[in-house]
Amino acid sequence: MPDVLIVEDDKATAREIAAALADQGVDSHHAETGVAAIEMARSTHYDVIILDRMLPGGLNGLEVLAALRGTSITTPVLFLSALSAVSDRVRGLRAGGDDYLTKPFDYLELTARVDALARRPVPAQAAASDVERRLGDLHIDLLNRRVWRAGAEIALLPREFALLDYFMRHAGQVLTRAMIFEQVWGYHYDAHTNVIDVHITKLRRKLDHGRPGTMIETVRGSGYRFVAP
Amino acid sequence: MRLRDLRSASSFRLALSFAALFGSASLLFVGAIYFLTTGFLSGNPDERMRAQAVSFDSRSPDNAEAMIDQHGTLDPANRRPFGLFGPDGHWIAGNLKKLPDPLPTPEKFFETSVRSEGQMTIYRSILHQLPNGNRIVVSRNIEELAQFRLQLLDMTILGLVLMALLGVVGGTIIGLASLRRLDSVTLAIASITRGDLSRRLPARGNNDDIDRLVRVVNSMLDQIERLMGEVKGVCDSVAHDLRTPLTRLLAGLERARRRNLSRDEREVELARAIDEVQQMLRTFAALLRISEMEDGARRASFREVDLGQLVADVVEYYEPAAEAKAIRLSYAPGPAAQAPLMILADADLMFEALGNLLDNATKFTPPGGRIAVEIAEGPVIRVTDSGPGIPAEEREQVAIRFHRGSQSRDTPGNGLGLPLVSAIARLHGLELRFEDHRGGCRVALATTVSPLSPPISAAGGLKIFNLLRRSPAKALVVASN
Repeated sequence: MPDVLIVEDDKATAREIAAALADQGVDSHHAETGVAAIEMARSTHYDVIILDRMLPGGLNGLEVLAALRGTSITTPVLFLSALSAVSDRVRGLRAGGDDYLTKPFDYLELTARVDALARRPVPAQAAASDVERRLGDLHIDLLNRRVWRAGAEIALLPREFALLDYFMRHAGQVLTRAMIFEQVWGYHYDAHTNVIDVHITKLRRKLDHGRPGTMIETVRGSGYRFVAP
Repeated sequence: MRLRDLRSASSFRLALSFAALFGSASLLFVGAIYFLTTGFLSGNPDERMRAQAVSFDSRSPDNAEAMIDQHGTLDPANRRPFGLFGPDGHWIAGNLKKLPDPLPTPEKFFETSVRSEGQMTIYRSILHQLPNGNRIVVSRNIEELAQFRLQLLDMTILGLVLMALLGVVGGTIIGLASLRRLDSVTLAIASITRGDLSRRLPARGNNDDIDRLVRVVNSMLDQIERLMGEVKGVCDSVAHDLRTPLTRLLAGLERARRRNLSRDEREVELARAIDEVQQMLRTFAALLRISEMEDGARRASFREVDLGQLVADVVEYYEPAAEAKAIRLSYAPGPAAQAPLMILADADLMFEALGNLLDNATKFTPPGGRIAVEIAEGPVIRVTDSGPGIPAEEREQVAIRFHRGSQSRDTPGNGLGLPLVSAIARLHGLELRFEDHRGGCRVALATTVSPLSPPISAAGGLKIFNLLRRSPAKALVVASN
């Protein structure tokens, strides 16, 4: 069971985050200050650290992260911030943060991202599947960008292929619309439209092609999950 | 109070100092005239008189006596009385019967006034010592000269008095007029300060200096009033836009508690409540983003971006949604975007802005319609759709927060889309523009970069359109047909 360190000075927010994580079967611990967070991260292994950008008492989020990375703790860090400016996000990510979420955030969005970070494959593992991926009767050839299901080739547009590749890499995880948009389209903004749903519906139709059941499940209120048929 | 105001009024002081200046100049002028004319009028006759007196030196006493007597008979009006006196001062001949007393210095002109028959007569005379010891006095009546002098003096004094009077009166009038003018302006400002923003400073319409100032201030007031109205509108809208969903939320929650709902029904109510709250949070987020755009700090995240690629990405992203509505979405990069069209921009924000435009176009274009996106020289990004379009009189309004066009009442939205686009455009030195297009709506993001006011200062080390260095004219356009 993954264990998450929540570094957040507001007790109520921390409690809500812990509750949201617990619902997803994730354990968590809470540190209120940067100093406490560094101590805890050094003595215990965590799978993900949720780090508030603005902390009281000397060390802010960026400094805590710098201190952690300085002692070669490579635990993925998800920044939480009330600062929504892109420059803040870029600064957070450049400082070594792995993801960035702006307050107020959706708790499903948070848990989905924590889940993605906790499962992030170590680089060595990722390299092994650089050429092709298989899941159930689905097979994709990354070099030639071709897809087969049960031996029948499926014609995909480039973006649909990128979407499918992303789904396959995160099979079984809940992927929110924002995560999909960021990862597949490479732009970063809170696009609250159902536009992305149309893309996914199209891909789903091509993949399922009249078969009962679907490979792309809709997770109510948050996003999608790719599952083996 | 009024008088003290007047004394300190600048126009009054100015009038007075002009009166003083003009008065001194006139005084000098008149003085010069006075001395020059009197000198001229008396100078020549003086020399003649001296010559006449000296001419008696060479005459015998009898001859002199006879000449003087003859002169006397020829001058009954005593205009030029002569007198010949012996060394002891006794009268010998001439109209002048008496030596002046005390005896004047010989060979020097002197003036005497003689009272005869109740009239004062002024004479200018010279006393000359003849070689034989006799003395001759040659005189002339300078009554006219004296009168001229007196009159000149009187007129000068009168003129000065009049000038002083005119200066004070005129200054007072001008001062009072300008005080009244300023008072009316001050009064108007005071009432504006008290909150009556619709009040304007009174202009006289004669285009004088104060009028020009008043016009500038008035246009500033227009701008302030518009902004205040906008802020008030935003506040009202925020209050309204939040109260409505909150009321709905409350009603839903109360209904859920009141009724004995099944598990599924409760689930539906909860989902509805969550939706409402999320919608409100989105409204807040959009508002915050707009004000964030407006402070310009986001330019720190500007990078070189290929505009052609970016527009292609946005179009590609919206294609399936348009397709689902049987709308044909086409993108023509145009000659401007054949080669990579590099601009300095925040790609995420530009995607958001263009996405908003395409979102609107998709929303308002009826099924079967067309949306065309093109990049024209400038760069201008133009989106043309075949939707209902925005009436010309509403175009100004749509960039105002929370404004919902007459056409969009039934469409979901928070009225913050175009204001956000407009804010992002401004941040990039672009301008959201509505262009006339028959049978649809045409929206453009066009560059406003002018050499006079670069939207991004060189001090920031950023140039918005990098391509300005390479090719001076390119534009990005989004048009919905």
